Amino acid sequence: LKKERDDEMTQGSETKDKAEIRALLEERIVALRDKDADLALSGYAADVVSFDLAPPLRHVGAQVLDKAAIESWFSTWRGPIGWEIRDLDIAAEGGLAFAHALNRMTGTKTDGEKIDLWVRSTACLRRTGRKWAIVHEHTSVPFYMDGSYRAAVDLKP
Amino acid sequence: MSTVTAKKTTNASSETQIRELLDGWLQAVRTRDTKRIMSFYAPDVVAYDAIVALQFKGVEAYGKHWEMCLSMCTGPMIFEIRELNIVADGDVAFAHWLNRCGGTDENGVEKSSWMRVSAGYRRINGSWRIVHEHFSAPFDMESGKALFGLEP
Repeated sequence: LKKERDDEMTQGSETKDKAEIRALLEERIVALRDKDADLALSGYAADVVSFDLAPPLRHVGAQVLDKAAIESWFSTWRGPIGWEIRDLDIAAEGGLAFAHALNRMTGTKTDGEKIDLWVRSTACLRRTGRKWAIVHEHTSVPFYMDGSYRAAVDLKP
Repeated sequence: MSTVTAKKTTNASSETQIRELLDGWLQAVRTRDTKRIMSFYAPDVVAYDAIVALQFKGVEAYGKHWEMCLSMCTGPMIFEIRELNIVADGDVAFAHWLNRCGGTDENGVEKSSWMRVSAGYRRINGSWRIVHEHFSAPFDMESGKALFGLEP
């Protein structure tokens, strides 16, 4: 009975961690919809290492937490930016976690171009005290090996 | 105090174990040993690779993809890593690094490019396994083409 209770408590605690991480990742839905740069950046650790869609290979700390750059990117979109999270899977234990998901970005750029893009996302998090923070993020699309080396921006799950 | 010390020791040894797994995996890729490469993955691995598809689910599907990738790199394999960061706690760990991948053509010219890799690990029945892996190259937003010439 003692063992069962311990298992339940462990599971209960893991579920709470996962719920907190899911909530943190879902903040992006609101941040992109409302074009809220502060909210978009609130989940990151100060020394975050990011592998993003655009170069360079690696963005670190202040290069990621650049509010002006986020606002400038927001201004290239007409109206809200859609962000959907699908197949989210979270592993969490103690003070660390990782999560991966497929994300769909949708909207209209200011030049009228319609965007409907599926990307793959990996997030690695650490908890300091009670708060989870993203210490590593990797967002990408694959590319085609048909000789064109085009980024595969038209794939659907 | 003793608990804190014990916890730190556990994490340090978990990180060492992940480093050993990574070294074994690198060696398996360099020797093109697909069976050994796949031994490091969990049966239900979810992989986001740099080419062809959004995702590969399960070790069988990802193994076929690895074989196809290895067949594209001719001559001696180039597979080296830089900027490695490993974080481990208990039975969960993650790591990220930059990975130079490629081969050597018939004229002895190296053909390679730097990719970014993130990996998630779980200790399953006492052994660490890769449960998630993500390889990619960034792309040029204007041309829409993958960027292979970037240096760390």
